[in-house]
Amino acid sequence: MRKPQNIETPIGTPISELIAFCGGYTEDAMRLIGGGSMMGYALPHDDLPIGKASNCVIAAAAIEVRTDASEWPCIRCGDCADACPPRLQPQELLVAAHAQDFVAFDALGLDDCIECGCCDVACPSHIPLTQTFREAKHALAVYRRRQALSADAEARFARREQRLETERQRDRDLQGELQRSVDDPASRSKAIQAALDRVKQNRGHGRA
Amino acid sequence: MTKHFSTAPSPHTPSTTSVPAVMRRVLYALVPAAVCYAWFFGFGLLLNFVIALVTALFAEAAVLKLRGRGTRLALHDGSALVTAALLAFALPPLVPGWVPALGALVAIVLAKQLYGGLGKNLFNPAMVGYVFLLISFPVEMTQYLPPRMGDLDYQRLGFLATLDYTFTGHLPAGIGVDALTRATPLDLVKEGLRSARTFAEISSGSLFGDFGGRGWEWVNNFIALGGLYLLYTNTIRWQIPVALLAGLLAPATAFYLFDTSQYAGPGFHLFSGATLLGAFFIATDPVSAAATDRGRLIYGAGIGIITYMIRTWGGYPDGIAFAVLLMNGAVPLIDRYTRPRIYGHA
Repeated sequence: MRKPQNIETPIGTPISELIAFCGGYTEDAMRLIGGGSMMGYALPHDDLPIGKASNCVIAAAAIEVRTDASEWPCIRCGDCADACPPRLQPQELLVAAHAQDFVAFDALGLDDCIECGCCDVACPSHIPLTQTFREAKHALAVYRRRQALSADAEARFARREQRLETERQRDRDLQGELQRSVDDPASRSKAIQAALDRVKQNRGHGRA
Repeated sequence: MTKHFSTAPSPHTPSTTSVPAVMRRVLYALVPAAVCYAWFFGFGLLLNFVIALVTALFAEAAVLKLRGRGTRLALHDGSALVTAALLAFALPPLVPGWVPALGALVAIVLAKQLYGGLGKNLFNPAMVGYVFLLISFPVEMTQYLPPRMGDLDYQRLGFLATLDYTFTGHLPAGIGVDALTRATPLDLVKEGLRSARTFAEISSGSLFGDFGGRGWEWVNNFIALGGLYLLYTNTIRWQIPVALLAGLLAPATAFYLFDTSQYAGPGFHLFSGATLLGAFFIATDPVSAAATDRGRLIYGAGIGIITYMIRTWGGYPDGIAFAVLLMNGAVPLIDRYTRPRIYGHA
């Protein structure tokens, strides 16, 4: 914008209004950023309102943003690690991200990445590290969800197996009990006598 | 009226440096030492550099083609330039042309591209090329020239004669290779101590200066100057050079004080052979070096100590190249155990 300045403005003011208030766009403005140049979001257009957390709007020229697409391989220089506020090792995280090594993510502290973008700016190979880590975090979340689901399924399966086994055992016990009563002569004659009594009783009722 | 913009993920701030810029700074840092080297030891260094560079670029392009990778960025990243320059510094100044060519071929194809190219190589390519040559062709690799000093009796080859020898192997009539070459100071000390002469006796020879070999001292001064430039521009960190020099000089001082006649002094170790080139240019190759601060200290100290052991008790007069390769192999382990504590974690 032509006249950058600090403005006190009501929440909900359209960005286009603010830009007009600041003298409009310069000719070379090619990216609109909501927030700072390190962690702000690139906005698709200016018909958006200022929100409670809006702290800055930047209309950046081509030379002020990264446009060069050339990317060299990581040379492990460690500049990113020096720049990293939570003291991660982005060069190792990058290798883990390319390999989708979810076990390594925990050891390297992917969750502690604050996506500040310092590693990108420090990187002589121009590797989009922060974006790679965002995607890796997403992949890690999906992986963890899958792990949780499969752990649940495993526990469910184990419970079902246990229940079926208990039922089978109960059936076996019942079977054994019946078999024993059939094998024992005393209880067998007692059972026969009981059956005969039942029949006699039914007949008595039928004729009455 | 609504204005539309293209979007991209943050951060939007462009990077302040690039891989070719890093490689260029390493080359700039070597220029004063190269001029000094050429002054004392002839044009061989520059010829070796050109031959190694041409071979390296052709080899890199060929392998990239075979691997189905683009050659544009890889050939312009300047890494082949640095490998060729370091190899040229490691070679003796007067060798047949196939020596630097073969060294560059091994460095680029075996040590670099077969591991996956720039950034993936476990071992320092220039040192793999050098060690390959040193082990395979010990005769060619140990023919060093005496420095150009007024009072030294030696025969010198002009540019054309050097060119002729490099490409055809022919020396001017009446001059043999043995007439041109001398043992290096490191070699003289090693052989001298073995044949029961004292260090003071050996280092009073005509090839020795204040600390190391004459001529070599000056080359090493300029290499140190280049190293300070790399430190000043943040191209390298202080940990590796400081730890390497400490790892070499601490045992050197201790043994020298223990017996000044049987062990070479720390000044001699500092200014002889590849100590300073190794400390500032070879061990600091980021790809094959440790990447954490504590890891760099361990890595550098390891190289220094192993170098001292090879120089003092090993079979070779210098040990920087072997020490670097050995510690390169330990880097994944070092990096794993020296990760800094993540902020907020116990």
